[in-house]
Amino acid sequence: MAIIKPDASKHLHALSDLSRDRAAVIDEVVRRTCAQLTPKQMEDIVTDSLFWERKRLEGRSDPIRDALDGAFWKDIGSQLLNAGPSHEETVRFLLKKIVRHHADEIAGNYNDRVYNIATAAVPRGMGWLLQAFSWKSFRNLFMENVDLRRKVHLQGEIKQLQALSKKGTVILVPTHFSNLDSVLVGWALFELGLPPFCYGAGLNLFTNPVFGFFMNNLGAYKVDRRKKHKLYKETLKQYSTVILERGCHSLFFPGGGRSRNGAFEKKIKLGLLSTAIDSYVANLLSQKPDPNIYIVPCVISYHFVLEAATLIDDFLTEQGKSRYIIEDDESSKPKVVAQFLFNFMKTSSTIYLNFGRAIDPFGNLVDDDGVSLSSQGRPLDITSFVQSNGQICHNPQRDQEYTRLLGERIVERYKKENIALTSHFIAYAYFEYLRQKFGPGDLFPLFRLSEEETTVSYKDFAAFTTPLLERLHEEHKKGNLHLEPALRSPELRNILESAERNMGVYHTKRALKIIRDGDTERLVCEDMKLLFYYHNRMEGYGLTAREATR
Amino acid sequence: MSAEKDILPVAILGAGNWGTVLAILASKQIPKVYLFDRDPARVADMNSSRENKRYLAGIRLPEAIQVTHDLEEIFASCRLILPVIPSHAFRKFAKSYAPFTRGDHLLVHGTKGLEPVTHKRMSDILTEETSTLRVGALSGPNLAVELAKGLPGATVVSSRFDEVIEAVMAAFSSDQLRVYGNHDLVGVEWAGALKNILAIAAGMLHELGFGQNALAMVLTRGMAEISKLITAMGAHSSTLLGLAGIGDVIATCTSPLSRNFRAGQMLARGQTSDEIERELAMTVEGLNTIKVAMELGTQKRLDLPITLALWQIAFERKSVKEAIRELMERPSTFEFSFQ
Repeated sequence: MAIIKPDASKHLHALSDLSRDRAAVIDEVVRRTCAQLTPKQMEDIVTDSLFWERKRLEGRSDPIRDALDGAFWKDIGSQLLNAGPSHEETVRFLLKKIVRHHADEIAGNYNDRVYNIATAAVPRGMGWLLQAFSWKSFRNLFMENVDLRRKVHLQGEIKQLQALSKKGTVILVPTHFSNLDSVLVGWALFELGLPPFCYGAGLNLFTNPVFGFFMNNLGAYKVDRRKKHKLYKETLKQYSTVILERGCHSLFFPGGGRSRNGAFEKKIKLGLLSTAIDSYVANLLSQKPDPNIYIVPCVISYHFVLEAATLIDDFLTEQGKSRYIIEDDESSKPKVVAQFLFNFMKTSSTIYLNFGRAIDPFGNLVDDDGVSLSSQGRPLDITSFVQSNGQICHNPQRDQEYTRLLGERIVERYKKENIALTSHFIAYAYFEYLRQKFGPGDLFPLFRLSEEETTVSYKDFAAFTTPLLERLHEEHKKGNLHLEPALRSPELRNILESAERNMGVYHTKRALKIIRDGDTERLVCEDMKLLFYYHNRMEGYGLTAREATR
Repeated sequence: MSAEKDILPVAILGAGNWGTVLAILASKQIPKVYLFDRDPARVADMNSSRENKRYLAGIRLPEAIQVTHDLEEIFASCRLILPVIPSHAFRKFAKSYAPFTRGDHLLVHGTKGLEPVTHKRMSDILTEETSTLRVGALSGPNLAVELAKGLPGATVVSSRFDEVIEAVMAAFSSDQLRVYGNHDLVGVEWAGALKNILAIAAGMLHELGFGQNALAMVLTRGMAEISKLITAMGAHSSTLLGLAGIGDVIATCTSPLSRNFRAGQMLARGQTSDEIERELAMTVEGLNTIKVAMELGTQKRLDLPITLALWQIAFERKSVKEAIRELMERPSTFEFSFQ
């Protein structure tokens, strides 16, 4: 498909201005964060921050950074202790100091010059990354000038996204399965002629040898998910609100982190998302000419996910909470990333990015002119959503509810905008077959099945899967999801072969292997956890009787 | 309080007995209350005779109430609007006024029941069909006839939006009615629908003269079943301890004024569900709710012996005495607390 690139200069300016006005932006973040607090709240929040930061620093994971932070918080602690008669003044001073400390860390370092250099390299996409590893074989691959455009399919409401990026401020909310997502989305935005989006990337990615370059230079700002206290989160929110108000398009991964189990995000983190409504109201109150905020869901579909093995292990060992930030997975190992990309490039495998239809901060669908529509398709005046007693105003309780509903709406849209791949469907059917065979109750015994136990003849598999495929095609007809072309085939055999080709190229232990012995064919699974991971992507469409009755 | 002229009118959509009583209750605080009826002749009659002869004969409509069939005017001049329409007609009617809705309207329904077939809650229908997200539900022990006579009572307004709760409190709180707020909209709506099942059970026991012990047993264990159902739907079980739960059960399960209670009496006399609806000439929400509860219980794998017994009585013509015998013969077990 020929993509016509729009003029991205206006929003590039917004980003350049943001970089130029970095100090003013930080001042504004400090002012707003501190403005709403009473003296009592100030004291509580300063001590709360001190408590949580000290606790965090006890379990050091980044010696250099943490040593600097340690000195900072030691100083805050001693000043608070020695405040004396001017206690209230000291607390106010410390509060501002803490917020400034956080805001300074968060604020990105976007640079026009670096962006231009970076984007000149990006069109060759992942090939550029490969070159960075200086592996001869990969360099050869790069020299062959593999065209990423043929490997990554950009589809969906692209024209709408391009149009809306000029009519208001866009928040792109992609699904999140891999650390490659941000690089991929960054490339896609460039490919579509859009400016780089501001992106709250985990602090660990900035130090990641693979992703650091992109993070530092493509409009990313830093989010340290180890910092859990309210003041940090509030500072982050204010930063996001300020940049949205300045017209900088933003990228949120609203699930908060990569999906651990391969399923879509079912719960959305509402903190950062709430900045959509906050900035919309602020834009209206300041009578900004283009006040609208558009939320664009984007679904990324991989046949194989770089970090799948670590993520699903993490999910299943229930370490999800304690290991919320995984810093030692496949994405931090250049060789593994290179191997992944090499496999991806050399096979027929494709990554799909589907840009969904935009919604407004209240979950209404938006047309290509940026006008919100009711469920019956009537144009809506959405300023009325933020009016209380006839006045446009901020109303934290109301807006918190709107944000919650927006989160639910995004989850709903992900399901509809999903591009199901042959590997997803076959993994789903295969796992469900084994689940039915070995008992529908507890999942964990399934992960201990031997290869022999997972073996199933094609005939048995087809008998189980054909009705599921029919149901999948019905769901597709109803517009409940998208299917990659190979999955639209009525021939199960073709679908299975496509899945086998794609699932077998990266993971050492295969989730799906087909053993051909004369006329007989058998499916074998070498890694049930991985099979479960890829299966989860298709949960929620009611394809099996088990799901339909839930 | 603001000057009278600053107080926006409030509208009640549906001039049944509960809708009319709500209009009367609001007229104590609100200078102008719209009461919608789709029939122009009835509108003219109510405005001239100041009486709703069809549903609330003998009760005078205060001057503040203006009966109208003009939905456009209602939505242009009101912010707080309460649709009080039977559940089977709720969506169709919502579609008719949806074009007039705006994002700042506060829609609070007063309908206890679920949509047939889809089993959706009324507030879901409001958000699906109209242009506002600020919706809520009014529920509780509110026998319309008693409130129409000026007897005291309490109600609960539930919404996720504080603004909605505050607006209903301001419009309806008076020396006759206490209005409580609640954020558990799912719980309030499900409890309002499911309690109809218990009203049917209470009617049966009353008809057969089983006494107060049996009534208390069935209502208490029935509440435990409702608790399982609503928590499975994502509601808080504590909502059942409030007006929309135990409050409504006490009012509807002890009063022959409730149509579900009467339906229970008729079932005990051996009449079929079809015969009952024909004789009462109206929908008995509880009969539909028994089916919904059974389906949900099966889906969520819940043990609901009382609901099952009622389903067998209403739709499989099992005798009440036989069903009760089977319930009594179930193996002894621990009483568990509300989930």
